[in-house]
Amino acid sequence: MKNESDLIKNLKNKTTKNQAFHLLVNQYKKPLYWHIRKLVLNHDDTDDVLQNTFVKVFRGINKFKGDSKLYTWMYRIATNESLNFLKSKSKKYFHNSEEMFDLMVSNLKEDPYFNGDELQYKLQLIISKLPKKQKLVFQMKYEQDLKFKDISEILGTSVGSLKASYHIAVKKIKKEIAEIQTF
Amino acid sequence: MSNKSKIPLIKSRFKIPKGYLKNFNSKLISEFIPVTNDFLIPDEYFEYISSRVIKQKIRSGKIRYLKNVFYRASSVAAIFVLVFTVYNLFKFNKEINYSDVMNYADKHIIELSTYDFIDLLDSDDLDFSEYVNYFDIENYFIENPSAEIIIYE
Repeated sequence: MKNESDLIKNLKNKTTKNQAFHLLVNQYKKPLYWHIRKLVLNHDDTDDVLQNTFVKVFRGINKFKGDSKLYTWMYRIATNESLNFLKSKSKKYFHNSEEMFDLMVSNLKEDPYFNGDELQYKLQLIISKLPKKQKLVFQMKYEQDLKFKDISEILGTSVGSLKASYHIAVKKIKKEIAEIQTF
Repeated sequence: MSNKSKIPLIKSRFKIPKGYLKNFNSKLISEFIPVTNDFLIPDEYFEYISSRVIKQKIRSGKIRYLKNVFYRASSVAAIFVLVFTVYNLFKFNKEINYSDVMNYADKHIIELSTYDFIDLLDSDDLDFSEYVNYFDIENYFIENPSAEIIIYE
């Protein structure tokens, strides 16, 4: 905690900003990358969104008031960047977001950076069909094992609501997988 | 009321296996699909992503922003110049007058033939009776017979 407050202080100081930013990037590039990757699926898109996230962090650090943890603030930026990226991609190239997610998941089969078997592919397909909030909470809880309290800070939703969303998402996924496995 | 308060409440009468709640969430689906990371990344990608790369992106973003500002400012300036030029052109056409034409003719020495002058003048313009007396003209021709040649010419 002390390290985090020192890091924030150094990030806000002009003379130590560059060094502190170097530390920040090294510390958070992996978790943020995986968080974004699970949302946008493709590596190249993830790379773009990750860089944009760090750019926004660098520019907006002086506005960070310390009401939340630094990493939840950064996760929030990464989540918003990912969602905005998907939104603009959907507007640019597709009729609707469903069409986009279908193509994104079907592209996974040819993606050299995806190594999942048929079942993992189906799981991605089911997750892509979930409503936005359920998808986000499922990715954060199940895949990244974040605490509900932290997810609540990132998404700005109550813990109770998140638990309900997660429960529904898990139920849906279980049902769909069970159906697949019976065939 | 008093009897109820005397019943000791044993909070731990139901027990759960150790670590059950901790692993509960992952157990729900991992019964079907194990939690594995099937997404791969290019070799040494995380070595490539550094504060230097991010700063380059910030710098290129600034350059792109300045370029955009420059292009927009140039477009606005070009529009202003165009509007100003067109406005002045019309303004000039409206205010053109005799003295401007005469000055222009003087400066650029416009050569006009006799026929050009004749085209421009009508019979009233050739009436000099206001300026020169008829008898003076007659006397002039009497005194200078060679002037007839000029008239014939």
